[in-house]
Amino acid sequence: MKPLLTVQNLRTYYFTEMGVVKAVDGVSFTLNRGESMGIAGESGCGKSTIGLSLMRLVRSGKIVEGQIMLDGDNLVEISERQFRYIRGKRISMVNQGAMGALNPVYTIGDQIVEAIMAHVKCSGAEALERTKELLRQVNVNASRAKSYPHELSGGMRQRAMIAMALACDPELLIADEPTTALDVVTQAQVINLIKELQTRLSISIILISHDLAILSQACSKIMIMYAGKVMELADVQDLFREPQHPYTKGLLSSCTDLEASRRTLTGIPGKPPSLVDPPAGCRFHPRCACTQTICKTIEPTLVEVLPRHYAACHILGSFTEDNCSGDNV
Amino acid sequence: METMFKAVDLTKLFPLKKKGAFKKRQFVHAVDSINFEVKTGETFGIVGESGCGKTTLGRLMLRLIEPTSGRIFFKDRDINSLSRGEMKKFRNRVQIIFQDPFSSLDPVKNILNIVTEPLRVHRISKKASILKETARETLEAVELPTSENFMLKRPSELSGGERQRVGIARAIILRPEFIVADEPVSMLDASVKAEIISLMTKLKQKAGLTYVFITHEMSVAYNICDRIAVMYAGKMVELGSAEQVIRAPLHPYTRLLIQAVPPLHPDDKWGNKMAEGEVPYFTELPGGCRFHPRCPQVQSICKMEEPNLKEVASGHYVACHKM
Repeated sequence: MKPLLTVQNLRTYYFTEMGVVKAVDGVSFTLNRGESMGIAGESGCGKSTIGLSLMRLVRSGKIVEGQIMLDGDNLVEISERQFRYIRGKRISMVNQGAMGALNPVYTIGDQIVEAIMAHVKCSGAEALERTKELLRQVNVNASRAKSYPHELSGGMRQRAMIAMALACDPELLIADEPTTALDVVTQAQVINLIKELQTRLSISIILISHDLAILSQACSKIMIMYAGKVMELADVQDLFREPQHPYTKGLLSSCTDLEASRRTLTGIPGKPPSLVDPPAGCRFHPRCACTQTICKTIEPTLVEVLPRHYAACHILGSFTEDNCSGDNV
Repeated sequence: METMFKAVDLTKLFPLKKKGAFKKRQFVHAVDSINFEVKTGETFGIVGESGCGKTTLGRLMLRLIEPTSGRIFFKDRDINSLSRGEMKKFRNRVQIIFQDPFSSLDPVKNILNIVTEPLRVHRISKKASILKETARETLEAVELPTSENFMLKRPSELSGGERQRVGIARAIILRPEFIVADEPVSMLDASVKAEIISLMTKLKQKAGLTYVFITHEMSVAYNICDRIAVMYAGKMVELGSAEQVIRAPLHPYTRLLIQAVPPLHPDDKWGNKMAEGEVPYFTELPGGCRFHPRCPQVQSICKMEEPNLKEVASGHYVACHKM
């Protein structure tokens, strides 16, 4: 099957007074039709910048290298004018703060109608009909089309945002931390909604979150990022059963989990590096418990360590948590 | 175990703006006649969704706000009837850690000034050498660098985790007995979160602290708390040991909260039975049990009568008619 989206060697840099911030530095992945991929990592690892790069919405920075192929079209090369037919139509995005993303002086119905009429030739009445259908699809009462954003609860606003993103039947939906500002119960409802829509409408989804538990429930494959680089990429079952990269293992052991018994959380000592001047070699080596000499000089590449399971680490397979006695310990 | 805090019929109502000159004023029932005790040396968790009153309860315990009615005792003294001098001593013994490490630190002060401010406010010392020495000890306790260079940095130069450590250092520098931690880890990344939780556990063991840990994350509460209280719409609906509340929840709301937490490992069955509905905005409370409009097991009595918190097993309290 030909993938819907192929990203190759994507590099997105921000140009600041402090220097060049290499937020995304050589990221490659593919996404099939109907597949859902999760991007995880700590704040500042570049996961949101990937989303923005796909939408070509990177402000004060630019894509300096790489290809983003959406079904044969290279999104990096086409003109801004052409891209308007893609943004919101073929690729759409749901952001974190639904209150900030919605216009407070228009009803949500008006805003969804606007999104439809920007791309589809139809009458206002038809667009309104479609809006009501979309709202029903995300389990919001269609009469809510007449409500202003402030009259809705956080969960309902996020649903309205999802309805808007689905307005033109996109092929790819990017959801950047869609549940971060929501309460647990509402969060569970929104994740389930995304899951359900994905199977029902068979769209491809990229879900960006710092919360591995959310991704594990909603995605079929997961990409772990650290300091602008991909550390590990695997099917969700494989990643959680047999995490390969020390960073992934660190992340998993930092997560609180209700299913597991109470345990001491280990965490990962240190903090993410500056992306202006990242460490040489493996970017994770200053925080890694298993650092060897090679990690400090040579950057590891993403290799297939198990079938369809990729990781970027020099010492894969040659260590376990117990025998780990690197230079940092 | 000794009782450190005891709340008796504690109530806090926040008045809302009148909708019209002849309309009755409405109130938000943030905390509504709550009774509980916090024992010396334990970590007492308060969980619930936003707007359930958990932060208000924490603030009442420190007398940052005055209750509408009811009383709250710290070591058998009603904290709302303390004299000025006694109040000052009380403030010395209790502290708070805030959620947002970005806005709870003064951006124009350096780390040394932020951490030692309590010493100056409480007139413990003004001498620069003593202040610095105490700051150094405290920064070491929270595992931050103690170099001169670090102490002269401003909050904007620190990462989120470092800032939260500064917040903790400021809270422990007076060597308090009791700390209210209001969502101290909810804005942090997973790896940093784990470190802050283990730091707080270490400090507790070392200094014999008592914590009230307020959080909306069930898994965090389960990890750090000895006992957990679940709040809904200003009421405590369940209270018990962490094991009792998480492993054998009795109140339908607690069950809903636990179901809503995504497990770390992929699980196809998760969330299939997730209930619809959201926390209502509580100005006009539903009659009877406040949870009844969302409750899957609602009976006619739930709509008429408000259930009280009853002990159903040793140390396990539930407010539900089904019990």
